[in-house]
Amino acid sequence: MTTLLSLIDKVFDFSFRLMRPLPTLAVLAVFSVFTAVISLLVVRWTSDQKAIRRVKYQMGAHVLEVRLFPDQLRVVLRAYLTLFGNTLLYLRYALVPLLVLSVPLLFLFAQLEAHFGRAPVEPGHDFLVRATFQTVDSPAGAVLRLPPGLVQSAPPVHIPSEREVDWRVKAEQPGTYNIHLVLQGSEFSKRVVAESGLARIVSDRDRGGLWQQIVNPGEPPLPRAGLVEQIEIQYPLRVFRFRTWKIEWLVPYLALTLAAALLLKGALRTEL
Amino acid sequence: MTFAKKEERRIWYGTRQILRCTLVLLVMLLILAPAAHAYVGPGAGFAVLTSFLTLFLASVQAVFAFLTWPIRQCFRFLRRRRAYRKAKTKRIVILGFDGMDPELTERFIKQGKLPNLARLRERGTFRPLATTLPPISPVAWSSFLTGVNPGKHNIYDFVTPNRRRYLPELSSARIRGSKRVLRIGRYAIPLTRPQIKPLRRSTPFWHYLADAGVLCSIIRVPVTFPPEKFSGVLLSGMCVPDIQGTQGTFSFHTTRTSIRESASNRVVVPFKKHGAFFHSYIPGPPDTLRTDSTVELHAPFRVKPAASKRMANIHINGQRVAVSEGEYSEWVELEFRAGVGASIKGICRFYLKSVQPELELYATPVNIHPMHPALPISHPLTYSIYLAKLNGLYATLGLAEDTWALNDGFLGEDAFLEQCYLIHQERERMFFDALDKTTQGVCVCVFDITDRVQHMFWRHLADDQTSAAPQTGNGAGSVVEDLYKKMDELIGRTMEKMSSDSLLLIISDHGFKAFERGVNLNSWLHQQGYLALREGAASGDWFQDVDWSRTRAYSLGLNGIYLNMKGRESLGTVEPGAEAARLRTELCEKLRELVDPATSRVAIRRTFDAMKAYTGPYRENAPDVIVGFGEGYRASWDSAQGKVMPAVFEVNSKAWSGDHCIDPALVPGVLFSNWKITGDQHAITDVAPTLLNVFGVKVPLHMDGKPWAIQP
Repeated sequence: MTTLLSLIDKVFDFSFRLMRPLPTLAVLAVFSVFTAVISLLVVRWTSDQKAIRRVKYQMGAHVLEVRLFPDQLRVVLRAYLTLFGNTLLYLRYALVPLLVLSVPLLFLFAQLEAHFGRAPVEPGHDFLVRATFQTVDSPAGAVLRLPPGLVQSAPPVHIPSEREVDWRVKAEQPGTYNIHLVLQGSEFSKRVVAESGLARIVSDRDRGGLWQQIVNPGEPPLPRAGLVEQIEIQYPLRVFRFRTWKIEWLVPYLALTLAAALLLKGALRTEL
Repeated sequence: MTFAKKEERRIWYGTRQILRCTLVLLVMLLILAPAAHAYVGPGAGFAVLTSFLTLFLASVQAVFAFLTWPIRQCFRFLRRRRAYRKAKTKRIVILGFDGMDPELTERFIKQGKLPNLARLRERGTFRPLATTLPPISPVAWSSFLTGVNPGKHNIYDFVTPNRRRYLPELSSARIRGSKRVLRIGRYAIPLTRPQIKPLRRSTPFWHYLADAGVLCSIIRVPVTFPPEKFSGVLLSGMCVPDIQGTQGTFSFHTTRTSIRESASNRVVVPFKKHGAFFHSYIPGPPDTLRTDSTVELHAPFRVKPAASKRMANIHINGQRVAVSEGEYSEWVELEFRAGVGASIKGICRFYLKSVQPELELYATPVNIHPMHPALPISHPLTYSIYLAKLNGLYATLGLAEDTWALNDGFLGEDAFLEQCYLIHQERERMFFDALDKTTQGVCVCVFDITDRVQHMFWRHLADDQTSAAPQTGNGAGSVVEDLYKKMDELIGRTMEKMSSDSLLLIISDHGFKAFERGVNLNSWLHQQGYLALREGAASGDWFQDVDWSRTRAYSLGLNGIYLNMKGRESLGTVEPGAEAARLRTELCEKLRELVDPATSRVAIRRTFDAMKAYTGPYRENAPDVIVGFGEGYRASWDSAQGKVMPAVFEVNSKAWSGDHCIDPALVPGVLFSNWKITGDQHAITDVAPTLLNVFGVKVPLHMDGKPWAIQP
């Protein structure tokens, strides 16, 4: 599984490298269209297209029925009831493609979140490095070793109740760095991105299992037997600005995916 | 403002409000969506999102409807109470069977083959129903729905002559292109909708009833194209054109090279072989988006026959349609792509006639797509869409049963009959849905199959062995009998769905008689010196080579003779007034009791002077003389198409062996009812005033029909 995840990482890294000259929103649009195409193909191949079309037509007919026969109370109530039943039926037909789609889209989504979810730390601005340890005593002697370009801007803060130590760090120059947490002879690294542009930005490195590896792709998990449970970099959220609105990547991504799917469903002969 | 208009405005306002609210909610959802901290979104299935959207819209509408329901219901309750306060019943169902013959019905009832009609006759009413002059479906049904004589509704035949060009035009509607067109290079982009003008005059009874608050569901009543606005639902019937604008042009595709022809009602397209596929195309409408509108749009397709399986796969419009030999396909959606990205959608069925030795494929006329109608075929527009979504695609063409394909030998009897019943099944589904929805009010449905099948299979009736037409097909002798039995079953099923206090009327517009010999009225006029041909010229279709400067009268259509009148016809020779009256009388007298020398039978029983036979403002548009043929006779095929032949009489050798375009006294329709109807004379024009009377609505003074004395 680790090999597969590593392969997926490489594929996405390669894709993002290819699209480096494009603006961030354009890259997001490319992935939206890609998602739409994949989703349409999966829906087409895994669903009963005729049944979906039939039930959609039935739903349309009953909506029209309400408008056509508004004076007929019995007809209207029955139309609503049938409409509800047809909606459930439609969901049933959509269940199989939904389940099939959920697997590849989970990986896709994790990768997109890793690239679009967070913005890099800004050079010259402070950011927090937070380490969570296995026991209250574990942090004793923990040292954060910073590479050139990163400096500690305040003494570390130990919060025993949380089994946590926080360091305030500042990037002096743009770049991608590896910081090292040294504890009892063991060294735990974490990548810090402080340069503009699209890059894989993963805020957490955990010692979790497969799920953590999937949702936080890019860095190997912390050793299970180690004293450190998690190292977290507090990256700011990446937002897209549309005039005065600030929205996260999910909204334009969803909107673009839906738009692309609606536009392409005819060409790909898919009934949604 | 009429009630219908108010209602329409109210519905539109409601719809607009719902749309506006939905839009605002959607935009708000988009803007105010909180940051998602879990992996939901496309990963959780954008398929669900689509269904959610549907559910959401339905819910919004449901909530809106729920909140406003008490107010609307109070208003409607008051209106309904008023509408039905004076009504003798709250529900009337009318089943129209085009061409159901009273004599034949009587015979089958006596033989015990029609139990439901027998029950109606016993407990209610069975009478012959006087038809119109002439007894042709568009004329009779127009009188049915308006309650007036043809002089007031302006329909005298399927076609009417263009007085300037002496060419036929559809009598029920005039379709013209857009008035304003933007020309850019070779493209002509219409800026307004095409002009569709109804030519039928007078007001249908359902308009009066709808204004009084009575719900009316009108299914396929002839001469309702274009559909007129009223507060009810209507699907247009006979006279709806196909996608080419004709009354039905089928196409036939063959590998045979001997057939290459194109006529007004058919196009034969040879297949071209490329590899394993045979290529051809369905002819479509002219490309009106081009300045050169003679360019015809095509829907290309290719066929891969599988001779061993006796079937073929048709690849058309991105679909693969499998058809077995001797079978029809489902309705196939076609798209005719015009210039500048526009397209016109239609539907057709394929019938695979043979795979070997020759590949032969028949395609029905391309019907207007009920879900994407190129022309309005229903009111409201959404009604045709609703029916298609609910029951599947259906034939929309007015004369959907392709009698010409059988007449000309492109379809066999079995194939034609199958086509008729496929269309009939669609019609039944529509009717029973309308019946189900019309719990109060009037539900009318006209079934055409009775007319088409009798036209084509009359020669197989046991007591009619005189026809010269070929008698082919297996078991064809019982086709008409089986048809009547099926209609009786349909009536039985309808009665099961009706309460005893509802009124059921079963009517037909005319009866039927054999059509054995044709009378060429134009030949007779030519021989008598009323119609002249150019020197040395032989006549062609549509008065080709007629010398109008020496012609005083001509015949067009099935029963009419027109005077070549000065000031009306572009090359008129007959003075209106006294001369015209004299000529009308002269023609009437000469034609009356015209005897066929070959059989010594009376070919023309009666003739009618239009000025005496009709009353009303449109009498001037009528044929000047209407011919009432005797039994066994009708206007010949050539005569109807304005062609002069050497002989006046000719044998009808076509499969079209039954007809009704004769003396109306010989072909009355039927009237059945579950209520008692008293009185002696019952005519089709009486139906409209009777319905108004039953609902307590005042009968307009202009109606010619008289309400029947009717009681449960």
